[in-house]
Amino acid sequence: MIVLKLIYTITGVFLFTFLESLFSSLLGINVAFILFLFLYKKVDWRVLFSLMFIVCLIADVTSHYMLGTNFLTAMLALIFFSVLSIFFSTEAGILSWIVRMFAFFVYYSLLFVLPSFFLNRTFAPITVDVLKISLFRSIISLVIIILCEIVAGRFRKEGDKSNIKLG
Amino acid sequence: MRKTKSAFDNAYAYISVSILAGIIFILLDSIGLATSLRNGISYVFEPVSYDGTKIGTNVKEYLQNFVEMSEFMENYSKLKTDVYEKDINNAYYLLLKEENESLKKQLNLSDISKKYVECKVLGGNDSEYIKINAGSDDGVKQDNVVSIGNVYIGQVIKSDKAGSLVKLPLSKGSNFEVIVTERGVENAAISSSPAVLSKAVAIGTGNGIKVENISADANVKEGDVVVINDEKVGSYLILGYLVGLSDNPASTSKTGYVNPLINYDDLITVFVEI
Repeated sequence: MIVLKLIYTITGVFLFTFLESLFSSLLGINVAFILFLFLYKKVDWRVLFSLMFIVCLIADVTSHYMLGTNFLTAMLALIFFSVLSIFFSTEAGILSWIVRMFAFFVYYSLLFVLPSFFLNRTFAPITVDVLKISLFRSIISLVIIILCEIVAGRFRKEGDKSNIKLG
Repeated sequence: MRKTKSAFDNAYAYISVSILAGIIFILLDSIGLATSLRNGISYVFEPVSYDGTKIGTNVKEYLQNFVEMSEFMENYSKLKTDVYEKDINNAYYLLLKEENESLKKQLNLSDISKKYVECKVLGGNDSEYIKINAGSDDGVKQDNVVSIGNVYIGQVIKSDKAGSLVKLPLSKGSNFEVIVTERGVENAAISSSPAVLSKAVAIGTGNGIKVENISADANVKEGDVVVINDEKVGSYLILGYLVGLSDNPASTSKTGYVNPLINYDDLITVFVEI
């Protein structure tokens, strides 16, 4: 069973790397963070953070960033999301989607700034165009996460709507 | 033990540890201690990432074509207009070039003591006549000789205020006294006394120029130059090359045809001697 899980994980990481590169070049969105925010509070923290860490390291190498850049950016956006979740509901309702969209917006905006800082010690300027692109990517990411929620809704256990049935 | 576990169950603790891990990795990578890890990940995952990026880029380019369709259409119509403009400019420059060459010929080969009017050919009623855009206002009169350099084009038969009709040498009823000389005169101005091989008469037949009455014992051959030497024209002007020379020993004279130096259908700039 452990071997089977390991095979699934390795295959999943390869598939994820492929999808990450594909969507990154196609729409400029980061599938890793979308999935991370989707699974946040739905699966075991240790599994989620460990997988996220590995996927982010791979994304750093394939994007030629400093190792840890993607992960650190995702964590900063997650802090923002967690802070907002204190004041607003992130479980259901339109407000939860707006909060998520803001989290995406912060993530994509930071992704413009931080890699440049870690590589060159200079912050990339945040222009209106950068904010527009970040907003566009945030909206697309939100649409994807909504679709994921709809699909995942079919796999949820009866009586435990906050957890996903994985196998 | 339980306390430790509960602490790690906390999301904020995970986030804090993760941020710390991220910073540590950035520091390790910046001082080059994570190079082996980078190389390992790169070796395993770069090909997969490359394929994903390639497919993504191709799909993006494909979709972008649809997005930029209106821009393409706009560029296409702009390019079409540019091409038309270039064609117009090109035609204009070709005309200028042709005019320049005609003027050069006229200056080098014509009798510069005479006065000429430069004019354009507007087309003809048929192959025997051409219309020119110079008329009596420009000083063009009936019987004026039309030429380019030292090549005979025709004679004005009707002159109006702003245009004239020119009779080409191949038209029916045209006849000139001509001389047949050896080749070599086409590359330079005709000498004052060309070596006359024979005198003859050139007659327009409607679709060509026939040369008759060439002396039977004259040493003329195909390719010799037929030069007009007629009082109606008033000067030596080349008509063309002698071709189709008859070879009948019983005949008292030879006949032939003139291959004109200029294609009368392609004329643009001509000069009228006034």
